Amino acid sequence: MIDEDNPLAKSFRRVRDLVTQQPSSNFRLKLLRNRSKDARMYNFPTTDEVAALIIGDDDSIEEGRDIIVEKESEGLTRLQETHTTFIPIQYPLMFPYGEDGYQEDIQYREVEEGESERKQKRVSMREFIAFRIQERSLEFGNVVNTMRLFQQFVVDTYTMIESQRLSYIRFHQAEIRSDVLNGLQDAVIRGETVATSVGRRIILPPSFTGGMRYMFNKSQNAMAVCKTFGYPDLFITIT
Amino acid sequence: MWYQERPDKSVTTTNKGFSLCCLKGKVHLPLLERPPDLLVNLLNGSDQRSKHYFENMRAYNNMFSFTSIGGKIDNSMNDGVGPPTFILTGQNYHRIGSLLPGSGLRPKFAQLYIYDTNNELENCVGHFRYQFTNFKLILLTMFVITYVL
Repeated sequence: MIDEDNPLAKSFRRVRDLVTQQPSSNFRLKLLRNRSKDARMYNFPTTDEVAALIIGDDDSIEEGRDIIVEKESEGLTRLQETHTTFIPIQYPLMFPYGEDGYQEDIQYREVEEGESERKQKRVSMREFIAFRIQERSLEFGNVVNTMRLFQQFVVDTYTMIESQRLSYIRFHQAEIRSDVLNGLQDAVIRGETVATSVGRRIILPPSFTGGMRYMFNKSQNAMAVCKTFGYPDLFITIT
Repeated sequence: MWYQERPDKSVTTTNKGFSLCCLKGKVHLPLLERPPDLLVNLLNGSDQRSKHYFENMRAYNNMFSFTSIGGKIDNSMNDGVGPPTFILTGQNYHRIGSLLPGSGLRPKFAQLYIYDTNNELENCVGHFRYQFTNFKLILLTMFVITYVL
């Protein structure tokens, strides 16, 4: 079943056929990221769209943002979480046809209401996953009904979202820092760390949930509340 | 979705849009197709085989997945008390190995599809951490046969 339906499995089987025919030849498998079709309409990739088999010793191939799997290598290659096959390659039982995962260029649909021009035009990773994990009467529920695998899926995809947020922060330090350095609350922290810190620091803005500045903000707020209304008798946390 | 999940809670309306799933229709993706019959039967069924499949879903998925999860999985909470919990710590990434296993190593993940496919069944099952009783092993074997071959 998986051999017939899953284009990823098919492309790996193609490698197998090559190995049995010419064991000595050199080859690599390139997992492609880009899809030529509109991701809002089609998500069944064909084998040719998923991966390309490269035969020979040509080292000049541009890797770009695709993933190249070597014939034999030490260690493991990491897949970026924005790679199109990232989700189906890890969860073949949830996506038996190798349905495409998140892509960076999925556009929003135009909604009829005369809305003002939005800054964001593309679907974010969080929105993509939120769409996938909904239970629908139109879908069989291949993702939601898998119990423990679904648990793993949710945790795993959340780390995808978070690592994407973190990498956004890492590459937008210039914009964040100017804002942060003006802030009063950081003067205290800065006084302690500037002298000792060597190298580049990545600053997590207070908008990052769970980060230092976020927690600092929240605790300051709590203290302010205590000052106005007096100290609480009960401390209740809701998660 | 439930009525209580409507985005604007201050308004009582019959014409409710939802934003949790699709941002009131802005996010539009193709729906998933009905999976192959074998999976449908396993997910809908109530016999011993589906039950076994449900309990070991993660193991089955790992047998067929091409990549491995890089985070540390904390199993200390799964001691039989309370519902099963999945805890992942550390930095998480998915990694893929080379197309062929190194010399003397057993094939794993994507290599299972390529290397030594005549003994694919043994290779797949060999990665199970748990010891199966005979009966379950038979079920497992049946499953793998119908699924892979």
